Amino acid sequence: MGEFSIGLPEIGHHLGFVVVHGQRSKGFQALLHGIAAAKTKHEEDKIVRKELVSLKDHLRSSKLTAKQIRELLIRLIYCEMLGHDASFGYINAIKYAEQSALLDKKTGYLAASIFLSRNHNLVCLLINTIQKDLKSTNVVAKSTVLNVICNLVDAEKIPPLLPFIVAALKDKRVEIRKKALITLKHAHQLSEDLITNIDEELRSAISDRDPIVVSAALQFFHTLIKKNLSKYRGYLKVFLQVLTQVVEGKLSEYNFHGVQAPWIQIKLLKILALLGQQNKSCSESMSATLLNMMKSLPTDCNIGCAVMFECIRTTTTIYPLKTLLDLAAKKTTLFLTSNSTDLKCLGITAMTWLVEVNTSYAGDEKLQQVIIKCLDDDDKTIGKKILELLYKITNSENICVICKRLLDYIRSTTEQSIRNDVAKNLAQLANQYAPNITWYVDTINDVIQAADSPVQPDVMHSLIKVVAAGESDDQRIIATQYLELIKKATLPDSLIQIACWVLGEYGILIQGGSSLDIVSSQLIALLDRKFEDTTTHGWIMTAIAKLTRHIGVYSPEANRIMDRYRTGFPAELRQRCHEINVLASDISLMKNALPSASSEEDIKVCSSLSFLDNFVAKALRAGALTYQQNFSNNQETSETKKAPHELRFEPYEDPFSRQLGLAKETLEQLKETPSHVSPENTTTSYLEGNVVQSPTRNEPASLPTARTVWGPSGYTGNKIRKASEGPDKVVQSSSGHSSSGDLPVERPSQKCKETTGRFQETKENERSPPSNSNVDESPNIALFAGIKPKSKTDTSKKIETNTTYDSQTEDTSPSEDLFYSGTGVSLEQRFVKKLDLSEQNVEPEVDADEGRQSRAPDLEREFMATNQTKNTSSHNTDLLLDSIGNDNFQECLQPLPVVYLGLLKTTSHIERKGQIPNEDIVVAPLLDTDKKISRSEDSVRQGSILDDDIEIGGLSEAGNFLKQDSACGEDSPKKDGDYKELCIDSNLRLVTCSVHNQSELIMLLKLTNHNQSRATIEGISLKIEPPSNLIADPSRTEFTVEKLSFLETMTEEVSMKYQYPATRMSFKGTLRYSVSKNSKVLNFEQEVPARHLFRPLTMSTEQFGEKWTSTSCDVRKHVAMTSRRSCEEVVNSVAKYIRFEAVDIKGSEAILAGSILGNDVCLLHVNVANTDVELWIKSSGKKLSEMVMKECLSACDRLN
Amino acid sequence: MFRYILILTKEGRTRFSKYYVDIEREDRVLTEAEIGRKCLQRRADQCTFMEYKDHKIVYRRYASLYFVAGVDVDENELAVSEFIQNIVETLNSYFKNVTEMHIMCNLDKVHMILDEMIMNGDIIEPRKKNVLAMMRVVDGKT
Repeated sequence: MGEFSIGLPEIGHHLGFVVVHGQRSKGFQALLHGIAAAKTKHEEDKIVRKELVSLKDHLRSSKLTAKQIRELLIRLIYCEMLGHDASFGYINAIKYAEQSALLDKKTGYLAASIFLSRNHNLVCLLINTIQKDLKSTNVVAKSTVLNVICNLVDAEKIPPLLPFIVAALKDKRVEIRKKALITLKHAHQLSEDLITNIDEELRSAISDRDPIVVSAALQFFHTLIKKNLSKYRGYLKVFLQVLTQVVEGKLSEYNFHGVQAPWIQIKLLKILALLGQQNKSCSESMSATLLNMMKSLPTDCNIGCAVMFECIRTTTTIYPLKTLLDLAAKKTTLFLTSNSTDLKCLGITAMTWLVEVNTSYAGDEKLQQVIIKCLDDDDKTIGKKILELLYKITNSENICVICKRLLDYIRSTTEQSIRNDVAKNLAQLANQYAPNITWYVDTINDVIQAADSPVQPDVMHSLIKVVAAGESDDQRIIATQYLELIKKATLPDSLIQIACWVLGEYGILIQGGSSLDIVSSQLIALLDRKFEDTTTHGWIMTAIAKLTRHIGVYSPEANRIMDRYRTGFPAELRQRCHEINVLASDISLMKNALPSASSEEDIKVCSSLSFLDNFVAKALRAGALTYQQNFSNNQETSETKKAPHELRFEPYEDPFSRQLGLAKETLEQLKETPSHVSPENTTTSYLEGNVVQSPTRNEPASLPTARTVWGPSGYTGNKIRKASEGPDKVVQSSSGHSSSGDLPVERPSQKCKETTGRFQETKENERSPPSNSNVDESPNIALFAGIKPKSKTDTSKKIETNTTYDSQTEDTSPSEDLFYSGTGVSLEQRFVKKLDLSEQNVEPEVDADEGRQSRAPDLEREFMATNQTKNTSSHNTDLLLDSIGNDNFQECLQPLPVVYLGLLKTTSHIERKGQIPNEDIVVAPLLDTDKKISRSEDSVRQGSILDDDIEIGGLSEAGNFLKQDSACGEDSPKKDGDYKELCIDSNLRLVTCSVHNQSELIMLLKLTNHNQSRATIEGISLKIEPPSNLIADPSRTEFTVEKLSFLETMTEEVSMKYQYPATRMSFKGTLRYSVSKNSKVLNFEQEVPARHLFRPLTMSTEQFGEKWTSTSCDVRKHVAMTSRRSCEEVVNSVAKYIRFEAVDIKGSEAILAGSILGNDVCLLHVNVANTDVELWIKSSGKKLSEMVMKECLSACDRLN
Repeated sequence: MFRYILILTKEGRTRFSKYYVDIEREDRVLTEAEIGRKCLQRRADQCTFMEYKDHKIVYRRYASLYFVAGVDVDENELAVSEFIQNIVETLNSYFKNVTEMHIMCNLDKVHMILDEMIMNGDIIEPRKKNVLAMMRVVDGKT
C-alpha cells in the first residue's frame, strides 16, 4: 500500500542543508553529512564514535552558550539513537532542563527522556526541576513536564507529584487538562494504589466541554475498565452520548478524511465492547448506536474502514444480537472482496470473529471462494489469519481437508515457531474431530514428522490414550504401520518413542510368522541410532522388555543388549537394563510386572512406600541409621511468613535452640548407636563456635543452651572459643601447654564432664554484661576470653623442680611426646655413631650413654641421670668433640672448665655427612622445663681448627633442663643467633653465644688461642660491659686467665638479668693479653638483639584475654608481606624468632605471649589477611612494646 | 497502545525512533534492524502490518522512508496506519514539504511534534492545527 495522498518531494542533500538548517553549526552539519553518506552500519558507527569523542571535548569546556549546549544535546540524542552510549552527557541534559527559555527547556527534557529510563538513578536529580515546572503557569513548560512524568517517573517518585497533577486536572487550559489525565492514567498503571477516589475528577473529565479532554478521559477509562469492569458500567450512558455526538458530526474540528474523530470513535467502540461483553442489557442499549454507525460509515476511505472494522469487532464481542451480526457479516464481505490486501486481511480476521459466534456466517459460497484464494497467498500475515479462520471453521466434515491444508502449511513455512503453533493446533483439532483412530494416528505421525521439533507431551499422551482405547484391529494396523515407519532413517524422537510403545504393547498382534523376532530385531537396530532425547533409549529398552515377556523367553540377543547397556550411559538406562535383566530371569515374574493390555489401568502409587516397611525394619534392626530429616527449612519458612514490608526489630530465632531441639530428638533416635556423633551438631558447633554437647552423652534432657553472643546491644564480647583443629594440628605450643581439655569438640567422649562444667561457667560469663573495654577491643580479644582459666602453668612460676616438669609431661601434647621420643631416638642413634667414631675410650661414656639412652623413654629418668653425669660433663664434651669427626681435635682437646653438659649438636655432624641444613636439635640431659638452649649455627671456618659447632648448653645451675623451644612445633628447634665472633686476631679468637635461661640471659664467651706459632698467651684479661638495661653480676664481668696454651679454649659465662627495657642493647668488652712479650688489646662490641631476652610464656587463652584487657601500652603495626602466607606460617616463624609462645591460632588470627626474662609480660596479637600482617603488641611499658615490635618486624622481614 | 515509532530508510538505517516502553539501547538497535529487514522484504501488494514477536508492527512507506509503529496485539491496524498518515501530514505542514533531511536536521522538533500527538502510547491530539499551534509557541513565533 504505497499510496499516500501527499507528495513528498525529495530535495537534494546539499540544498536541504542550506535551506533547512542554516542555523546549525558546522559540527552538526558534518555529523549529518556523515550519517547520511554512510552506506553501512559499520561506517555509521565509525562516524558516531568520532562524534562522541568530540562531543565529550566540547562538553568539558566551560564557556558554552545555551544555544551551543542545545545543539550538543541534539547531537548526543543522535548518537544514542544510533545505539551508542553517551552517558557522559546525561547530566548535561538534566541541567539543561532547568533553563527558562521554552525551547531550551523542552530540549533538555526531551534529551533526558530519551537518555534515561524510569529506573535510572539520575532521574532523581530531575525531580526537583519537574516539581518546579509542575507548579509553573507556563503552558508549554507544564505540558512538557507532564509528558516527562509519563516517561521518566516511576511509582516511587510519583507520589509527591500527584497532588499537583490532580490539581492540573482543573487547569483552565485544555492542553494541561488533557495531559494531566494521561499522566494520571500513567500513575494508575504504575500502581493502582496511587490513585484512589478520583471518581469526581473522572466524571467531570468525561463531561468536559472540550472533546479533546473527553478523549483523553476515554483513554483513562479504557484502562480502568479493563481492570474493573463492573464499577464503570454506569458510565455506559455517558459513553453512548459521546459516541452519538461524534457520529452526528458535532465535532467538526476532528475531521480526518471525512470521518469525524475516528480515533475517538474507535476508543469508544473498544470501551463499549468491554462493557457489553456477556451483558445482554448493555449490549442491547448500545445496539442502536452501533447500527447507526455501521450504516453511516463511509467505506471508501481507509479510516472509515478502520472504524468499521472496530464496529465489527465490537459486534462480535458483545452479546450476540442478530441484526448487528448480520450487518457485520455484510460489511465483512465488503472487506473480503476489496482489492486491497490490507482490507482482505482485516476481512479474514473479521470473518474469524463472526465464525466464532456462529459458524454459519462462513456459509456464503462467495466468501468461501475468497478464502480459498487467500489460502494460496504467500503473504505471511494473511496466511496466519487464514489459519486462525480454519481452526474456527473446522468440524468433523472438513477436518480431513483442513488438516491436509494445515500440514501443507507446516511443510511450506520455514519459521519454527509457526510450525510449532500450527502443529499444536492441528493435533488439537485432530483430537477433537478425528473420524477414526487410524486416520488420527496417521495425521499425528505426519504432524510430528512435518513439525520436526519436540512435540508437546500431551500430544503423545493423547495419542497413546487413543490407541490404547482402540480396537485390537486398529491396534494391529497401527502397530504394523509403526513397524514400517521405524525403518525410516531419520525420525523425530517423539515418534520413535511412540513407535516403541506401540510395538511393545501391540507388537504381538502383528501377524506373520516370526513377527516378534522381526519386531525385536528392528527395535534393537534402533538402539544404534543417535537421539536428541536421551530417554528414547529407555523407551526402546522397555519395548524390548515387553516383547521378551510376550515371547516368553529371554532371547540371547536381548540379554546381550541389556548387558551392553548396563554400564556407562545415563544412570536411568542402567537402572532399566538392570531391572529388565532381573525380571527376565523369571518370566512369570515379568508377566506379572508387565501385564499385557494394561495400559488403561491406573497405576496405584503408595506414596508412603508402605510395602517397604518390612525391609526398612529389618535394616534398622541390623544397625542401619535412621533417616534424619532436616528440620531447619520448616522453621525458616514459618519465620519468613511476615508481612513483606515490615522491618524486623526482634532478633532472629536463636539457631541453637533449634539445633538443640534436634539434638534431643536424635538422642532418642540414636540410643542404640552408641558412638555416633551427629555431624550436624559438631559441624554447627564448629561453625557457630558454640560447643554443643554431642548426643551420645547420656545427659539429662537439659542440654545447655547456646551462648548468645550477638544481641540488640551488639557484640557482647564474651565469646566462644573453640579449637579449630585437632591437637596435633595446632602447631602452637598451646597444644602442649594449654590443656587439651580446652578443645572440647574434638574429644567429646573424654572431656565431656569438663566441658559441661565449662559450659556453666561460660554461661555465667555470658550473662554478665559485657564491659565496654571488651567491646571496644576487637572481637579477637573476646575470642580468647570467656574461658575459665585452667589451673596450669603460671607465668610466674619458677621452673626448677622436677615436679613441674612432671606435671607438664602429663599434659604434654602428643606432638611433643612424639617430638621428644623422636629426638631421643635419633640422638641415640647419633650418639651411637659418634661413639663409633670416637677412638678413645672414655670412661664416663657409660654414664653419658646411660643418661642419653634413658632420655628417650623417660625424660624424668634422664633428668636424674644427667644430674649424675653433670660432673663428668667436661669429659663428655671432650668425647663429643672427639667424635665429631675431625681428628685434629683429639690432640688439642683439653678439659674445659665447663660446667655444662655437652649438647650434641648434630647439625655439624650431619653437615659433614650430607649437608643437611642446620637443624638444631636440643636434647639435653639437663632438665629444666623452661630453660632454653641456644644453639649456634654452623660457623665453621675454613681452616679453623676449633670446632665451633659444638654447642655447649646448659647452665651453671645444676639440674637444669634444657628443653627445646616448643614454640615451634616442628622438629627443628628454634635457632639462636649465630655463635658470634666478638673479636679476632692472629692470636686469639673470642666468640660468644647466648644461652637463654628463664630469668636471665647468659652470654657464653669462648676464648681460643689459635696463633700460628703455637705460643702461649698470657695475662689474659677479659672485661665485659653488659648492656645498660641488663645487670650482670659484677664479680662475673671480669675474667682473667693466666695463660692459654695453643688451641686452648677458655670459656666464661656472663649472666645478665633484666632491669628495664631498651631498644638497643650492646654487649661490649675489652680483651687484653700478651703474647711473646707483646701486649695487645682488643675491644669488641656486639649488639644483643632484644629477642634474646624474650622467653616464651605459657598461658591459656583466657588468661591472655584477661591480661590483654588489663595491659595498656600497645604498639600496632601493619606489615606487608611479599607473598601470601598462612597465619600459621607467619606465627610459627615469628614465635620461633622472638621466642614467644603461641597461645592460640585461630584462622587468620593468633595470640602469642612472652616475657622478658621471666618478668614483664608481653602479649602479641597477629592478624594475617592475605599479604598484610597486623601486629599488635601490648605490654606494661611502651618501650618494651617497641622492643618487641622491632623484633617482630625483623622476624617478618626474614620471612619475606 | 503504541510501543514505539520508527522512521527507517530504505536501507534499514534509523532516522528517528521514539519509544513508549522501556527497552535497552542494544535491544533497540537490534529490533530496529530486524524490523527494517522485515519491512524491506515485503512487496508492495502485501499487507502493511504483521505480527512481530509479541506485538504487531504497522508500517507505511513514504518515498525513501518507512514509518513504522509498534503496537499491541489488540490494536486496530488500520487505525494505526491512518494515524501514521496523520503524523506525516502534520510533519508536512510543519516543515513545508517534509523530506528525509528535514527529519534528520530537526530531530528535536519531530520529537516534540510527536510528543504532542502521542503521550504514554495513547493518541491525545489528532488535530494538526493544535499541534502546530503548540509548536509555534515553542518556536517563539506567536
